[in-house]
Amino acid sequence: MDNDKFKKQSQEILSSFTQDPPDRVWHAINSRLDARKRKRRILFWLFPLSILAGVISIIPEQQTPKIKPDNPQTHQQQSASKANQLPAAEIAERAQGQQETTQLNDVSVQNPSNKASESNPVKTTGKKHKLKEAYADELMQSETENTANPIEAYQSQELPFKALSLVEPVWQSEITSPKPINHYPSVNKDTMIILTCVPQKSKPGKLISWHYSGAYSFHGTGDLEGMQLEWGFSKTINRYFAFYNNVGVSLHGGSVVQPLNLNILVGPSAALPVGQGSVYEITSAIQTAPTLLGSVPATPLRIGVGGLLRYQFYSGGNGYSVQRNQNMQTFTLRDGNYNGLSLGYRVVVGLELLNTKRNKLQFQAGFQNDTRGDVITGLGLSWQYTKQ
Amino acid sequence: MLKYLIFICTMGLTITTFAQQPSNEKQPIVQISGGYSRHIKHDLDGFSLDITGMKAIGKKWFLQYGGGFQQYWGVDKKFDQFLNSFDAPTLQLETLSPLRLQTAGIQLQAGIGQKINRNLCFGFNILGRYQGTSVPESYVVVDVSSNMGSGIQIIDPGYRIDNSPEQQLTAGANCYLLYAPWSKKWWLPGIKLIWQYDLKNNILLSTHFNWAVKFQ
Repeated sequence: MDNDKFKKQSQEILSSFTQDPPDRVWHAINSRLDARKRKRRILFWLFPLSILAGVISIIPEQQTPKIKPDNPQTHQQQSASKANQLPAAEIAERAQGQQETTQLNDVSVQNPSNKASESNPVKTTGKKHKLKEAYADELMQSETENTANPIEAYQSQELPFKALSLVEPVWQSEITSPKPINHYPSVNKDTMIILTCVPQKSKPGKLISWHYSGAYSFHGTGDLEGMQLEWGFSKTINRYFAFYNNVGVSLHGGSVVQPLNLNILVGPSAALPVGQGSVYEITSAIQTAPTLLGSVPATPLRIGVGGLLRYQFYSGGNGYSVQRNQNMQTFTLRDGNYNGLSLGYRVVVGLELLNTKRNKLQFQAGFQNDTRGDVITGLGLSWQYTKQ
Repeated sequence: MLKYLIFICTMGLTITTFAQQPSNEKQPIVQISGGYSRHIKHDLDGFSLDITGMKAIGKKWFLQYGGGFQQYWGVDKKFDQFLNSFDAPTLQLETLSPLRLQTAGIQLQAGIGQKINRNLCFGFNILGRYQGTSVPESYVVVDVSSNMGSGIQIIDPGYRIDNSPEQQLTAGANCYLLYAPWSKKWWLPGIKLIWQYDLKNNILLSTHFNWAVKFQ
């Protein structure tokens, strides 16, 4: 009985207490729960964000364009001219694309309304960058002066400031970016900041090509015939010109007089003649002809002009006396100048027959003249192999 | 007969040498060589130049291809022999110049070679050769003067040439032995001995100083 009474009394006492905790308790519990959830969310996003950051940091290096060194100026001029002609949205996209494919070292973009950004928004690393900044500022100033009312231009969907194009080549070590544009303080909202970035360029390499030439040629006015062989290499100067250094040999020969049929002269009843042969002249030479090669644009024609240094061996003298009698032909010789060094010039005209990535074949006609009076004309083929 | 024997022996030596131990160097090599040369058939001295590209095709062999130029010159010896056949007191020459003899050749060649050891190299080439010469195959020196009975014998030597020389386009072969003990990283100075024979019976012997550049 005592136990029942105790239970009843305790129930009566405890029934006055409410089971709901006060609101502040619930708020405290909720705040603790939210803090745990935030921690979990941060931990959840931390891993993919780190991966994304790593990927973004890698992508610009992988997407850096490799510009072929054959016509870097053309590529740059094309990109600059196109940028000047595109509408604002496309230019913005292009600028963004260029930003992705351009190495921007330590570029910090800030709000144009922030005055602190006027001091030094672009961090540069070299002395040349300061020159580039000054050059970019000059161009910006000129653009500002040319634009009468930039707000109207902006409202009329015209680009208030054009994409900056640096005409001179910018090499890999000289990549820079002009300052963010803050020349229009009234246009604070929706201001489009275009970072004009010059695409990264590699220095155009000088291609080395090997040349092998052979020609059927004539010495003098055509009385001596023979051939020429030449071997050399050329280095490209620019898109149209190359310097060609070579060493060549030539060999020409011919009879002094044409062999005569003495039977006709003396008649068939005469004694069988002897000595129907002739003195044979030989000229052979070693020469080098440094040549400036040029190509005519949009045609397969190639032209080369250069000097000539030639050492020639000559078996003929200053002249011959040919004596004929009834059955014999004899030659008497006069002494003369046989071997010697000479200077001259050479002109080569070529017609390109075949042009592949590494090999070029051209039909070639050449003319050369030197201080000894030797004139050589030749027609032949030239094969050019370019080492990539 | 002797020259054919030498040629056959050299061929045999070349084939035997191909079985020797190889070289490990596989860089392309450009050889420029030049030096004294002798034309056996025409009995003339001169020089020759060669430019050869070499490229390894395995551990043992390398291909070679290039071009060459030979130049030989001299003075006819029969002229002096003819003059010496007369008595000096009665000699009066009207013409003083002997026939100038000259032989030159341009050739393209390609072949195969092998290094016998680190310093010794052997090679064999097939060649196409264009040769011009002023040396007639048959000629004599004759006196073409007409003595007028003055008591002084007047000699006027002249050449009677039976057959005109011609330019020749022919094929042939050569082999060489290159000794290059002073090998450096980029270049290979050496001494080269060349023996050459063609189908027009021209035999050339050459001793070259060889200068080669290795390309990595």
